[in-house]
Amino acid sequence: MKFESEKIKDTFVLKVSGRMDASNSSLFEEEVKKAVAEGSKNLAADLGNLEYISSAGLRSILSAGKLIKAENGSLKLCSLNGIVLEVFEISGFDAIFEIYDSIEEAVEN
Amino acid sequence: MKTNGKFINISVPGNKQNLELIKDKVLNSYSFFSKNKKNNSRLELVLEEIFLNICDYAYKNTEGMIEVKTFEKENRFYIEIKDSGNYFNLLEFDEADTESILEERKIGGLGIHFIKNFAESIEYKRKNNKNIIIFSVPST
Repeated sequence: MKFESEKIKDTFVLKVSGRMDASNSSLFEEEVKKAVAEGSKNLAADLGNLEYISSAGLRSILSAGKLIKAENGSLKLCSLNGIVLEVFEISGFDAIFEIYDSIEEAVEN
Repeated sequence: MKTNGKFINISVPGNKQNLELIKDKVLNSYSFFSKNKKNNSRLELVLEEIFLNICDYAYKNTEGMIEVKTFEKENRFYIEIKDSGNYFNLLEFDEADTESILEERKIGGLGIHFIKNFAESIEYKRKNNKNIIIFSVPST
């Protein structure tokens, strides 16, 4: 799994690519923690190039979401597709996160 | 390790470090039958969740082997997973929390929820002190 980050307007955008499974899922939470510690409150994770996610990955995203919520911030997600989208739908995670089709939409809303 | 052409019959110590090896072997076996990306991902997900559940629960405080075998029958690709751990029938577990709001959402049980939703068929047997899980995905 790889991360790239950039600031668009007041949103910290984290682009995630590769695979998020039991072996590496904690890295996502760590990236988010780092961004929050550096003062970011509005985060958007672009999952367009995330090819695979398991329950361990969802655990990491949920922890990150709770952490940001506790800081009165928000974690938006965008560009989910394939098995990642299926996993979000079946777990009901699509109801607890704001999900957008593109990073532009996530930043504008 | 025995591999029989397109199918595998492999036994590894039941610890999480062996998950990647098992995934590689099973997905390679499946690649002889299907190039369907969605089914491939579903198979990987179910396999990961079962393997980790065995390590966490069947082999809780104990150690042992996990045997994984693949075979095909009537257009279905089957994966059989055996362990010698404690009685552990994951099909008996309650469904996950899929409805609470973010602050109250609990993560437990999601792996089993995925197993039940993404496997095309799944069965559990306890035989000769072994847990046996057999699940399938489409072989096309």
